Amino acid sequence: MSELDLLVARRGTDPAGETCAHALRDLLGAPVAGVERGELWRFELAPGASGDPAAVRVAVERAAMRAGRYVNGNRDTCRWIAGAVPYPADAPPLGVAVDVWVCDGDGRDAAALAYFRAQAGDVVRGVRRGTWWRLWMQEGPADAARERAWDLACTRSRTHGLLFNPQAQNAEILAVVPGPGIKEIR
Amino acid sequence: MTRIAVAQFPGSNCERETVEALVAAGAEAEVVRWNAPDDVWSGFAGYVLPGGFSYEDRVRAGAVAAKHRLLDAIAAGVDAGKPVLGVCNGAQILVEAGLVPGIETGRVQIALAGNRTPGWSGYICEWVHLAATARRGWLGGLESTAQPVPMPVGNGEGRFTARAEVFDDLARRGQIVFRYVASDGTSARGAWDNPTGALLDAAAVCDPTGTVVALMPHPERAIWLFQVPEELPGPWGVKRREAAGDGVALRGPGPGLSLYRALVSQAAGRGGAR
Repeated sequence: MSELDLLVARRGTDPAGETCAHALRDLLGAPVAGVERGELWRFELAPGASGDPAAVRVAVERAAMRAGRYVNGNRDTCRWIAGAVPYPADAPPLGVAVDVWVCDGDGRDAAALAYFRAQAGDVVRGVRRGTWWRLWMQEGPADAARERAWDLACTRSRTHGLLFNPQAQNAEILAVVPGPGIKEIR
Repeated sequence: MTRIAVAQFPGSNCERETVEALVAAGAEAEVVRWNAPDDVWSGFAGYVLPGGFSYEDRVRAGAVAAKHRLLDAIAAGVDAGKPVLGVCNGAQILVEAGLVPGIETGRVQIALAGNRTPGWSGYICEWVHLAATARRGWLGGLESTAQPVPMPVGNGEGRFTARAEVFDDLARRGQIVFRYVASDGTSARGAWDNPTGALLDAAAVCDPTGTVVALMPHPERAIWLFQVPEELPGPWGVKRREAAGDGVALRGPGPGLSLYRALVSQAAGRGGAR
């Protein structure tokens, strides 16, 4: 089964991302340079689905934006991502971006699935949605940044972790993207 | 007079009515902002974390507020036996801070997740009925627990959850102190008795000593009889209908007041008097 990932994010500053950054830095003392936030939709397509994947993307995107149902074009940007969101050219070169996807339960949304199937066709077999967080760790190497980011994400106590409560949510690290200035030691 | 602090975070919205409830229960209650100096908190004999949407529920309901130093002050109060009640968003904060259920000190062991039950999901604003299933700590001071207690509930993330064995353990320990029940007091049947879908129909969970209580329904919205809807089934509905047109009777105690009286009674003598 193939999957398509659609990332929806606010244009400009995301207030929830800023609040998260404040909580991590100022309340937990965590070494994060910044936080980005969005909503990641994962569309599972029928195995061996025929037809043009680009056409599926167009149909899904159109459905998501219809009447601002899941994407408000005035407020949000959306883009299809395959693998990691690239490290921006204007970001500090010594940082490491760690992308974490947090879903309530397994993230499956039956109402959204019914909607997208009606709008984009039976090729859509499953829909999962969750919050996408990009934690900008201040330093590498990438493996250590990944570990620190996971530690910050998983809520274990009053003083450890914030992004998800493992008693009701699931999370996975989608990507670790070192800045161009990070030299990996192998 | 016993002083109780009502902790106000950015986004709390039930602090005034909570003060009214505590005053009606005999306390001197005060709204205290989350960023008050650390030494302010020790001057109170008990604490209430009211409902609302602290930090707009950003990240997750109660998650950001739970990281504030104020929770350290409240934890110190708990160690001194000062009663703590978190209502709705306040309950979410206590759970996210690991003060409830508190089996392992400070560990986050349960969650309040989005409401989800067959026949319902999402935000709920309705009257429900509760049974006091374990009279732990200051809840031992409740005036009567024989009949189901009606109370309004208003939340989108009120589903007490964790691995099933965690809740079985909490039940064994007597830490599930209120459960949703049908209006006749029998076990909850379906979405309209337990609209959150909470495991074991849990509406409130406490710490092992019964000092900290996280309660999802809103007792402060049921402190006067006139707040009870006339059509409500059960003894409180009967009482309300009998009081119709009688202003004095309608200003009599409602089903939620007993909870605040119990808290204030426990707090008395815990310091904080002027």
